[in-house]
Amino acid sequence: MRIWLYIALGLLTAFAIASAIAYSIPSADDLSPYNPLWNGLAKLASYTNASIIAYSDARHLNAETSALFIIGLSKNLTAEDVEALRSFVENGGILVLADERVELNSILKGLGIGAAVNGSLVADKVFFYKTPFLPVARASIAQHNLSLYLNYASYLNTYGGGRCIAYTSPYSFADLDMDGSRNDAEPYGPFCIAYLQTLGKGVVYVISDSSPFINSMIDLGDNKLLPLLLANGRGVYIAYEQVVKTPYTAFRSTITGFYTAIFGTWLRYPMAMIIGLSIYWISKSLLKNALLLTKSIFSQPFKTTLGV
Amino acid sequence: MKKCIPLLLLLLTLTQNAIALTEFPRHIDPSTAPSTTNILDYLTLLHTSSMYLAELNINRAINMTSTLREAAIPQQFRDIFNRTLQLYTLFTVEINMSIRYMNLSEEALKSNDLDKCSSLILAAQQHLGNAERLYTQTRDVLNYLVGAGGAVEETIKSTLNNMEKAISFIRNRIDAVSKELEERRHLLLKEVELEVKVNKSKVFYGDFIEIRGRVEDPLGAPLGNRTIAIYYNATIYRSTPALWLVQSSAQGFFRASVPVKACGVISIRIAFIPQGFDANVYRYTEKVVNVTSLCIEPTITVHMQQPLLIGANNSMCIESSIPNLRVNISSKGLALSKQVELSTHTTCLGILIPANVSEGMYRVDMFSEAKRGVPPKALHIYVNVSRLDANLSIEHPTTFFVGVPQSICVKTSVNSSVEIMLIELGRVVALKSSNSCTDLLLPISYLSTQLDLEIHVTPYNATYRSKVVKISMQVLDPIPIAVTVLIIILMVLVYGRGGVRISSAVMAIQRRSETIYQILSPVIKEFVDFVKALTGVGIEAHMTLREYVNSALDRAPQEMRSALLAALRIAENILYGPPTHVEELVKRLKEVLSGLVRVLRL
Repeated sequence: MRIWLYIALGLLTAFAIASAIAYSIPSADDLSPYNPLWNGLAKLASYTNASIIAYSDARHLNAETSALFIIGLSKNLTAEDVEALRSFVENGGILVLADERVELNSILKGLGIGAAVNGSLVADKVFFYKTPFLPVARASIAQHNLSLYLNYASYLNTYGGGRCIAYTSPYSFADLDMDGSRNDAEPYGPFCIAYLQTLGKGVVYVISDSSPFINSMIDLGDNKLLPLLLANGRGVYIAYEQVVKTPYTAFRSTITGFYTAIFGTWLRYPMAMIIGLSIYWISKSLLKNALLLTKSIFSQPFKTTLGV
Repeated sequence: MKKCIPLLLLLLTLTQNAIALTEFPRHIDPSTAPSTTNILDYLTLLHTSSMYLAELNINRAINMTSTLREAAIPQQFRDIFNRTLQLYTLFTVEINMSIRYMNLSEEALKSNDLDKCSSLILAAQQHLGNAERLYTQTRDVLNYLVGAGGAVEETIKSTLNNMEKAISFIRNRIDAVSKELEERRHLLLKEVELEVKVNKSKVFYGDFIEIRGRVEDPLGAPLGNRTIAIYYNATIYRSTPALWLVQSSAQGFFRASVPVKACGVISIRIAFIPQGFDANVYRYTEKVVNVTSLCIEPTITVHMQQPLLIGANNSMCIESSIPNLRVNISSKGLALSKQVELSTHTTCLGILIPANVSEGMYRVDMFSEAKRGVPPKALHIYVNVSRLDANLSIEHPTTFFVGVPQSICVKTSVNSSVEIMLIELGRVVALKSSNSCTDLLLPISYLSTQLDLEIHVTPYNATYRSKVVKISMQVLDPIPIAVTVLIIILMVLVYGRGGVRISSAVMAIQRRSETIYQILSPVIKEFVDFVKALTGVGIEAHMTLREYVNSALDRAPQEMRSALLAALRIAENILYGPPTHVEELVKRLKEVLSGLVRVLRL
């Protein structure tokens, strides 16, 4: 009987610890605005007082008072989603697209932006933070000169229609073989990192790196100032949709689903009863075991027991 | 099969490496990244090399560059040198090429080979352009080092100045040679005679003026089939051209009728522009004719209600200083396109904003058409387009009971379609009219303790704004509550009795425990003391009561041994036996012990 008690108490303790983790860490997903760890966007959401919306909700935003950030595409957008973004910008919205992956190019093409993510890794052995793969770029936004700390960034090929607002240093190079050193086949910079183009009444900013906004980078250099200047005092919205669930997300949704089912539905009533009974049973079992222990004491050698 | 495993593992590793090479990670945790020495710390070393660069000498620069390239520069700041020297070397090459072409062009000019001189100047200019581009890049590169300050900054500025001087020197030479070339060519070109007459010197806006003339060479020979350009600076409205081109006849005569699309004094330029072969024979020649255009600028004032209501006919009044003016009104966003002729100074018209237009600010463009003496006028205004709010009241219970129909009433001030969306059930209930009630019944299967409703009110009249009201209500399900309460009562009844049983057993054990400590211990102690006094054998810690008595039994008198064993059995019954009759056993043990004491005294 006692072994079952230990198993039950062990499971209960494990569940309590799992619940505490699930409560304190809302997400561990890369570029998730709910993620407070190094690779999340929780600080960005906090600094800009941002609301998190789905991609398709862009069509419902008030374009003239909103700035929409899409940082690292978490899913491939449909033609309708791209059209919603276009409509948002043309009606006066500010759209910020930040990603080092070439998957962004389909959106840029759909919007008619004269820039495309090259997809090659930018390294800089002169102006960097810690390693050459964390290069420092210089940006000029709204009459502010910023030092942007990048993290495994790519660069933009530009075709006109807008203007580049941030460049890496002339010592930067496209590290095509990703060995951290430049060879003769690897072109030197400066490379365009951020691009601005007006579209209708609005503006589109393209940044070839999602990392300046992550929790571990946003406090470096002028990265923190970047989203504020881009938003230009407007209400900030971060478009984010989780399509692929990581193991932690699945674990967390199971835990929260359990609590929602138990305390958010009428199951709370029988659950309260079960908890009460369990407490009664455990107390009873503990008391009984205590008494059995008392009895067994008297089966021990006589002198010790009685203190004779 | 076993032999294939290492091969498969190798293939897997290679594939993984290939994948890793094609795509780099989005980011790494910078706190875990190892720190590499920053090359900026070594910028002072670049200062030494830039001292040589500052002494700009085209011929020595190449040697210096190669010297720098072969210098034993530590790997960690080789990149700086490589980039700077790469640009600087190219700059030097371009400057050298430019100088070489300039020398050749000067020689061609001396030998009066103007065409060759011209092409050589072009080549020199091209190389100089390349040099300027490279200078800009070098400047950008070096500017990154200016932040180091001090001597480094001074040296960089000096280097850039020297590069600028080299560019400036060649630019001046190109300008000088080009000017001389132009002058020599100009001397060879022939003058052209251009005669021009206009029929009016004062006209109204919109009138045409007729321009006639003749073009001939210095010897009086007519220049036939040549292009004559007529142009003037004007505020151009819509597609009015600013330039007219006419061909001269075989006798050199030309004639053009040009509309006047500007106000005030207009300087009309009539020009002969030599083209093709003519460019090497004749000079550019032009005549200017001044014509006064009489205009009255119209004023347009618009009065309208703000905001304009969607789905309603809105009044707009247009006032103008010019009567009978025709005005085109258009707005892309409002699907508005109208033409109105102002019969008097003020004209009012109705503007219907379509129901599908969204609320917001829209631009309305107005263009008045030109009339004789009146130029067109453009006016852009911004209008606020909006809808009105309909009054809405909703009556609903604060708590909803599952399985019990409850009423929700919606009242609106205008006829509307009303839909109630039950979010979690995915159901929509439509009300018959905008002032009616509906009964909602939650099924027993409804689990949540909260009911979220969205009430969508869409007025039939597009002038009024649609509304969505969100309501959240507590939900109580009487059945599980009743079932739970019943189970609790049942369990109290069933386990309550068991509880008494358990409780009595527990009490018995507790009582026994107390008895052992308070009553039995002295009795047992008395028994043990008696055995010790009788036999002289002491109890040891590891012994049970039986072991102790058995060890002492040999030393006890023969006649007392059976009595001692009887006392031992009673004591064991007290200690290990059932809890009942403990008092009786204690009493018996005491009697046996007092009997034994009496025997011992005797």
